[in-house]
Amino acid sequence: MSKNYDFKNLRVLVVDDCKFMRGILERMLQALGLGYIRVASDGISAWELLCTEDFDLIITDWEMEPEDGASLVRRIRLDPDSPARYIPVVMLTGYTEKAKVMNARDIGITEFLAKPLAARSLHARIMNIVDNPRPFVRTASFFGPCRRRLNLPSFEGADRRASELDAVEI
Amino acid sequence: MAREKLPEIPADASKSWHAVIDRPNDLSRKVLKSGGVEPEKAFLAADAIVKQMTSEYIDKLAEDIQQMNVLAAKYRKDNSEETLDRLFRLIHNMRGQGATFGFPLITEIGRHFCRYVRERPKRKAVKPALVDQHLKAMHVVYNQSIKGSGDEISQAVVNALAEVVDRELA
Repeated sequence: MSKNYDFKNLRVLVVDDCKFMRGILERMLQALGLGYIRVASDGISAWELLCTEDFDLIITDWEMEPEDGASLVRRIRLDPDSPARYIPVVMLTGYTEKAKVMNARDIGITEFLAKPLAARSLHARIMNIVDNPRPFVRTASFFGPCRRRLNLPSFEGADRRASELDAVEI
Repeated sequence: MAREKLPEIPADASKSWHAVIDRPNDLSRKVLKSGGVEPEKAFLAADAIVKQMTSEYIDKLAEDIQQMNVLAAKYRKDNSEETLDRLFRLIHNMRGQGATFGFPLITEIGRHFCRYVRERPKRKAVKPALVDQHLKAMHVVYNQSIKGSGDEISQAVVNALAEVVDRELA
């Protein structure tokens, strides 16, 4: 049975360079019951908003100018002055290639959502963020939500982190 | 706004060093577990929004096709990376929107175009003729308003593009 979680207290920042996509995403989020939605057209505008307002979740596109989504996520996670270092980030993009998904994980996104945009998958990502938050991990080359997809209390198996520092773990 | 410091890496950290940072689940506290919109109803509402916006999408697609023609003509003249990049960004956005509004062939053709432009080996120059083939295919889908996966001929054209791109990327 579906859970009818009440998202009205969530504050979401939508970042997309396409006004049309921002519009449809905003309306979909409203349909899902999200109460506060702000929009930005690229990473720089998003950063400015993050510096002035509190948000609970970011949904960002990848390809944007002048600052793209990947650069925005890197800044959020690693910039010494980041105003929202641990904020969950959903990367919503037209990219579907495995290499891009891996790349997104490595820069510290929380969830990856490939277009076409569908309310059901958007809802699933938000539910997962609420119900199954992952711990953050800091290594010499990575900072972000744990890349091991399953949020197990203990990992049984070889410690790949020890031997493959840059390995992508999903 | 509380800024949180990036966890430091110890100076004597070994290659396998890592820190796991457990975070309080703030979102779970903000999201009430009942009283929200019934998900299935929300999905239906979202579907209705997409349906309502389809005519806007068709208008936008017409503008994008026109813009694509302008950029393609410019690219044929100046052969510049900058123009190609603008064309890439336009088509990347078209790719993201197509399937959302029932035009998966726009998404598929866009995907092959984007792969070709961004993933080709650096030693290989972009072939304007191959760019044009993608644009022609986009034109056909738009002019004939081919929704869904199209007929056998449409599929054959898209598959042929995929094969050529695969060869170029090899």
